[in-house]
Amino acid sequence: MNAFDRLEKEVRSAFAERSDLSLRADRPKAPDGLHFIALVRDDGFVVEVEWQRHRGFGIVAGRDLVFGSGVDEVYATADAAFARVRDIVETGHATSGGDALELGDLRKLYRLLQKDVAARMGISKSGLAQMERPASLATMQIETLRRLVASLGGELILNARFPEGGERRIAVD
Amino acid sequence: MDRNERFALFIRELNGAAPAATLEEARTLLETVLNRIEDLHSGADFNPSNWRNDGRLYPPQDDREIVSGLDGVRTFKTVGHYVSFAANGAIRIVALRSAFDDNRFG
Repeated sequence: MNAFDRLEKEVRSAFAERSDLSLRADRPKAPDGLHFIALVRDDGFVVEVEWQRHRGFGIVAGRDLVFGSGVDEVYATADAAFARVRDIVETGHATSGGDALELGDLRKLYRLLQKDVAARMGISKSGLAQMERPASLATMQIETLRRLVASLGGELILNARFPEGGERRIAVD
Repeated sequence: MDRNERFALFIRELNGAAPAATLEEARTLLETVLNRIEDLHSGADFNPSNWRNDGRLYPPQDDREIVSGLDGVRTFKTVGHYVSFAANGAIRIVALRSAFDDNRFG
């Protein structure tokens, strides 16, 4: 049983009593292709999960998913993906890959507590709370932001976008 | 143009295009029409290896092909939709919500 099979089993079990939900799982033609789970609520809200070995689980959710778009969120494990799917189904909140998130919301997206992130950074919980205030970002050093993002398990990437359409990554380190 | 507007334009142009005669032609037609619209209107560079949403719409790549169960038909899963190409050049795009008749819980 691979990670996708485990997630499918968990999702089917968790929502077995939900008569307002339908599930469809699709497996790839090629062994190394993408696997798919789609959950559709009667009200038209859709949660989709994609999995590919070495990539992890990609998730996108909403009422108006557009053909050819990418996933909004990526999770490394079946457990993390399942927790997120359950959260999305229960709250009905769409994913928002294209929208900017405040730092506190970014932490919550990855289901991390302030005390745990603060411990990883070697600062106090109140210190992290201060950093997460939107106004703090205006004066935050890039290195501090890089450490904060790293403590969430991510990597800070800064891009410069130009009117003619060019986009280049700025070296952070 | 937002993504919904671009998708609507893509469908209009696909419907107005000369029909394809083979599966390969159909797939190329879809790719050509969508990539042209996205080059013009998405503002994002073509990078189909991007898995995360980069604001651009992509034709289905080979690793999105699923088992279709139909001879002479290749079906691909893309966000919110299935797209199938038939040996006679037909293209069928089905919204995910329409593909759920027999999959209900409860």
